[in-house]
Amino acid sequence: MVGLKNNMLTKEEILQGIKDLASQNQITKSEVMMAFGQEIMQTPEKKKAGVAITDILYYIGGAVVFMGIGIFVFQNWSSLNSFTRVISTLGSAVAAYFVAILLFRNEKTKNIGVAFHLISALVMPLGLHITFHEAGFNTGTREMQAFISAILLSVYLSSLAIFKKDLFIVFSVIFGTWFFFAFTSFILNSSPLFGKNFSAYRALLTGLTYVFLGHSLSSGKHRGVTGFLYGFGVLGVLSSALFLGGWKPNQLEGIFWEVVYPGLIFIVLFLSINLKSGSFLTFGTIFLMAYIIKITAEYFSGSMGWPLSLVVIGLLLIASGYLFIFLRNKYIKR
Amino acid sequence: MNFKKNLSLIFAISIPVLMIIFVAAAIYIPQLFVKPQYNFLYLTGNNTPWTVGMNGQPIYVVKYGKLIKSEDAEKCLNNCINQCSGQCAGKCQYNCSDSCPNTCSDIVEKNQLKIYLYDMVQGQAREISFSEAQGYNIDTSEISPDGFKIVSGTYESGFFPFFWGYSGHDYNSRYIQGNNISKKLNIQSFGQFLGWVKK
Repeated sequence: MVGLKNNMLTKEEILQGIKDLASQNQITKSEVMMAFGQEIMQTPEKKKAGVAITDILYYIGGAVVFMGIGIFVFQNWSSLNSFTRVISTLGSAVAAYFVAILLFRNEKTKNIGVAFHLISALVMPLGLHITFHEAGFNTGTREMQAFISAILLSVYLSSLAIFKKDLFIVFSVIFGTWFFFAFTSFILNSSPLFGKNFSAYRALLTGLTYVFLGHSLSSGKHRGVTGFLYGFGVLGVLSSALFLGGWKPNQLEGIFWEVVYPGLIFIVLFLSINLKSGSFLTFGTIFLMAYIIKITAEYFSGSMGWPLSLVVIGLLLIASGYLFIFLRNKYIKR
Repeated sequence: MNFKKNLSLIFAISIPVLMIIFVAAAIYIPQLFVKPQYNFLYLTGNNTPWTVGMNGQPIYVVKYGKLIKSEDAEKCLNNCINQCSGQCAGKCQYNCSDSCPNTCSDIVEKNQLKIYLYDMVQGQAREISFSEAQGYNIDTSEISPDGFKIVSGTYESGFFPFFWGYSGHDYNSRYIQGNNISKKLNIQSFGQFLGWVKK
């Protein structure tokens, strides 16, 4: 350290120098990163590509195990007693959960742990349904759906609080959405108060929630789930708003959404640039195309005739496609 | 975590929570302040049986604000009785059947026809006799004088995540709806709405 101080710049001085040069645009981040060496830069990328394929295999394996348990219980339902029904489903889910936690402790077996968590998350709802069914409850009711989803949400929120893994955010979001739908259905009962579009509004707000949640996680250590949340979030918002527009012209509620929809698309495309999100851009363009087709079919196919309408639709779709490529290349592609 | 990030998280948590609160409030709070005033009469069972002699004629009808047994129904019944007893064989337009009723009461019983009065104050229905029902002045309008109507519930199909939402009417549940409220009625079985009991 003494030698360093006498003959060379100190670490603080080097960092300050980098800051000064960066502020004057005389050095870039990539040049600094290059200084660490090509090998360090490339290693994570190579590793990531290798893991992705094995991860897919783990997930497929997890889903196959879930199917196996489901088919086993279904085929042998009458020959299994209550205890074996519960132990083969809920028992398997709990066992898979703890095996996953043990596998997570070792860096080498961490990815297999993900597969076991997947098995657990898929089998646990089945296990809870069978457990409550065996206890004499009707699991098809809205209150039981809300109760089962609340249990699952609690399990995975607790797991997230303890282990702080991205995977538990995904499961918490899935079971939280289930709980939200089931609980609002339970409150609503069969009331006709909100009409046919209640579920579309729920989906819209769920999508909006995903987008905000994704944004809140975008710069933290859980940013890995941001893409998942943005993708499903924007899909939920745009598909439900399109549905709310209705499929017949001149309906009062439908007209409101049809007028608002282009603004919504514009916001999504603007956010795709702002957030550098491919999901926003892709879904924004797809739903812009869907909107063009819907509006033309609804309002202009009668007056212009279908052949001319198809020409207009085609030209507008080409324009949408060009917009997509332009925005992606200029603002999103890195 | 800075304020901007916290704001996103606050929005993310608030949206579903506020919607749950909104749905609960929209359903329960108006019920505390808006009370339907008019009782109503309804039938259980099938009032228009396609049974021998009846051919879809209603048994009970409301005319001039009073509940009566339909004259057509009585005529059909008499034809039926004549036909079944062989007195007009070959002449009567109605077909005979093994389960030929002998009296109008048989038809009523066979179709489990019962008259109920729903009491809005007590929030429950009670079965009443035909003679008691005849004592009420009935308004057959769909909407009551204080702005309510009787509607069926709705049901949702599918299961999470394959959730299809609204899928049609739930005829096992009935609601009184109007003035921005929708309240479930304590009714086990509902056949036909007869009318509002005038005050």
